[in-house]
Amino acid sequence: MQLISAALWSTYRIFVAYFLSLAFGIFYGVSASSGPRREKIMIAILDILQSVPILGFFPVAIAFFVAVFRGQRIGLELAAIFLIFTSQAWNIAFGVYETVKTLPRELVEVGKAFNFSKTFTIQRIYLPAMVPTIVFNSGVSMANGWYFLMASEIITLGSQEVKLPGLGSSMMNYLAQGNILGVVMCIGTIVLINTLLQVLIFRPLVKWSELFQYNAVGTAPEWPAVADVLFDFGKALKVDTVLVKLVSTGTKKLSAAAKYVFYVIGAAFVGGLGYLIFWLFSPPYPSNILSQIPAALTVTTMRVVAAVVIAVFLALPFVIRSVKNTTAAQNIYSLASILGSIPAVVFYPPIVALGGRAYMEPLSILLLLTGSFWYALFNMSKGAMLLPGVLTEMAQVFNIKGRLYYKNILIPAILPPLITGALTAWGGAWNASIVAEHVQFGDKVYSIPGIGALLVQSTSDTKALLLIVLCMTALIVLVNMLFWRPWYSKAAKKYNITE
Amino acid sequence: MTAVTLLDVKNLNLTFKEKGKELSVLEDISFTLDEGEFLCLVGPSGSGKSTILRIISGILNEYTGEVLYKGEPNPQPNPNVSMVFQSFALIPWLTVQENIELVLEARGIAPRQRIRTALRYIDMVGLDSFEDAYPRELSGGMRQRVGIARALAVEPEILLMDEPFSALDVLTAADLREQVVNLWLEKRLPLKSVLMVTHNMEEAVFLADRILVLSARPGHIIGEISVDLPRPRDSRDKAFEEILDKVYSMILSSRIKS
Ligand SMILES: Nc1ncnc2c1ncn2[C@@H]1O[C@H](COP(=O)(O)OP(=O)(O)OP(=O)(O)O)[C@@H](O)[C@H]1O
Ligand SMILES: [Mg+2]
Repeated sequence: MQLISAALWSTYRIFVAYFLSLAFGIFYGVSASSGPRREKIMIAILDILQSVPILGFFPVAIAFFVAVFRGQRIGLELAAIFLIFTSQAWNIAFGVYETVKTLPRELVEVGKAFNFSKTFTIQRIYLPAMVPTIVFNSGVSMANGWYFLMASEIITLGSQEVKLPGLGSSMMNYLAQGNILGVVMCIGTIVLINTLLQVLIFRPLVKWSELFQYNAVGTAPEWPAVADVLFDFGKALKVDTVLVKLVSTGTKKLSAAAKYVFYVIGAAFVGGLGYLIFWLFSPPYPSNILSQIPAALTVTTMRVVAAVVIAVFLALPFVIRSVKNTTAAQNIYSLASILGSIPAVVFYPPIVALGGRAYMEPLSILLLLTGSFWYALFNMSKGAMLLPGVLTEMAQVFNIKGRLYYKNILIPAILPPLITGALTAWGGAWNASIVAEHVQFGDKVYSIPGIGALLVQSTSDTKALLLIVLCMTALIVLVNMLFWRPWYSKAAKKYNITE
Repeated sequence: MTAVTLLDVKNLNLTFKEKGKELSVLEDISFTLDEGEFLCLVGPSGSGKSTILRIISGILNEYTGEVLYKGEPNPQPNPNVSMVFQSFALIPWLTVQENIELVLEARGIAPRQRIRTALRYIDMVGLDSFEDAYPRELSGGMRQRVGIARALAVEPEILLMDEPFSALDVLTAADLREQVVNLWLEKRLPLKSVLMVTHNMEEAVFLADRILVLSARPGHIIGEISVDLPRPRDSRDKAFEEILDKVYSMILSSRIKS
């Protein structure tokens, strides 16, 4: 009984956060693609948001919500939802942005040539065209929300720890009591919920969403009952008008007044950030921590890179299977959604305790993999599934096989999604690094050097904590800007297969 | 008889800018489309034929020059103009019937009327029993027919067609050509004039009142040929062949010059 109520609480939070993420993602993604200047600024912001290690940034966000609501339950509840939101929203926003950017020219031209009104174009062309990305990225977002469940339900306020009812906090309780059966039951419930979601909702939707793909060939998928039900619900709740509003506001040019407001907000934000940095870099310095940051960052970077490389290589065989094979891709999607939703973090302390400090190094990389592999898998198999048929057919006709096929056709063709997969895996691994390097089990503490360990050890010192998160984010953003983004745009240009 | 000028295209110039490089596509294009006229546009690939149709239909609006509709600046988009796309441009998630209904709905036509009109034009292009199929399930030629049905369904005054019969087999093409010509000749519909792009010179002579020949990129009009033959036309006719020769030699001479 207690399990069911916990499950309901967690599910409710995840879904509220998910719907907020959808609304945000559609709005942000559309806005970002509606003009070159906006695009530059908004995508840069999104890149940074995505790079802030969520787990590191939890304490700050919680403090904010708790302060605003003066410690009332609603504040905690909102804090939890916000934290889940931050694990779901960016990825949907990126997906929507990319879809709108690469929307086939003809679709827009039909609307223009046949005199569609703006609302009509949004409703009949833009929104349906977003269906595949939204459905596919929802898988990642859902899994992500569950993966961070524990972190969002146990909120530390200074010395005090508040637990919100839910599967994450139950799991922690069981773990503290040494009740392994309880933990397993919680995990089982999470797997069950996600399996049900897959079977009843997402799997049929993924199949159906293929209908909205521009370059698809062959028999069209049928409309599943879920889609009808969702449509009826949507109509009844006027979701369609809300969505159209969202998109049309997103694409609107800012009025002079709105621009002014934006500038003021921007200025306030920059001012606040400036003050924060000033405060961070004014004495007293937490000098013992500062001096540790470079070395710690280097070690963790090495672990993260190892995890990303392994994740991409592990994903490759699955990806090759899903080339032009929709069923395989859909199976991978479902499997990744279910397995990716397991908060692997929970197994980590007991396993580390079992293996001892000696095995912690490889184990930590394993944990990073649980937080990054699914991203690589999702993104890469999505790209492989969407590979144009002519390409593989051409390879068949000219009998291009083996090494030549992989080197000259398959790898180049899936390079853009492969890079996206690696990039997201990189972010995910960083995030997991926060819990991978410092573990408490019972009254024993296991720790390996690294930025994550440093961060966990300095939670009581706000200044040190912020400094560490800042350095981490700066490194991630820098690598994104100097390495991933340029590589991606080069690959996308060179191996552009959408046109 | 002096006909009313429906479209007056004056000094169109267009340059695409890509990666800092400038690509001049249209150079000083001027022509008129009169009421009741069937005008064909021929020219080598890449000469900007599709671009001209895009400008007239209101899809493209970054150009210099003027497009007048009945003496006024061409409204963008112009509800009296409809277009058959070279690449079909069907919406993949809508069935044949829904694709056609969509453009009718955009014009505020009531649901019942929409269905009736859609089915009538589906029937006309010979796609009955395919109304519930999705574009991906159709052959190239069938998709092109949906594109034609859609363009006709909104009952335009001016029909723009971008190589509408190129993906069809000879018989279907002949059949559809005849139907479009009949629709246009009968004058029952609001349809008054047609502007068609084609690579098929014989088709141009077969259909057009006047043929405009475009040069290779940057496209400018190198000549104009009137086709004063009675309809229905016969391609084995002597006069027909003479005009066809004229078109060919005009295109050839432009090749040699450049
Ligand atoms: N949006 C665009 N951006 C840049 N260049 C373009 C764009 N659209 C067309 N072009 C260029 O303009 C030129 C004319 O294109 P257009 O499609 O009008 O040719 P066309 O005469 O219809 O050729 P075809 O007979 O092959 O259909 C081409 O060189 C093409 O590359
Ligand atoms: Mg063309």
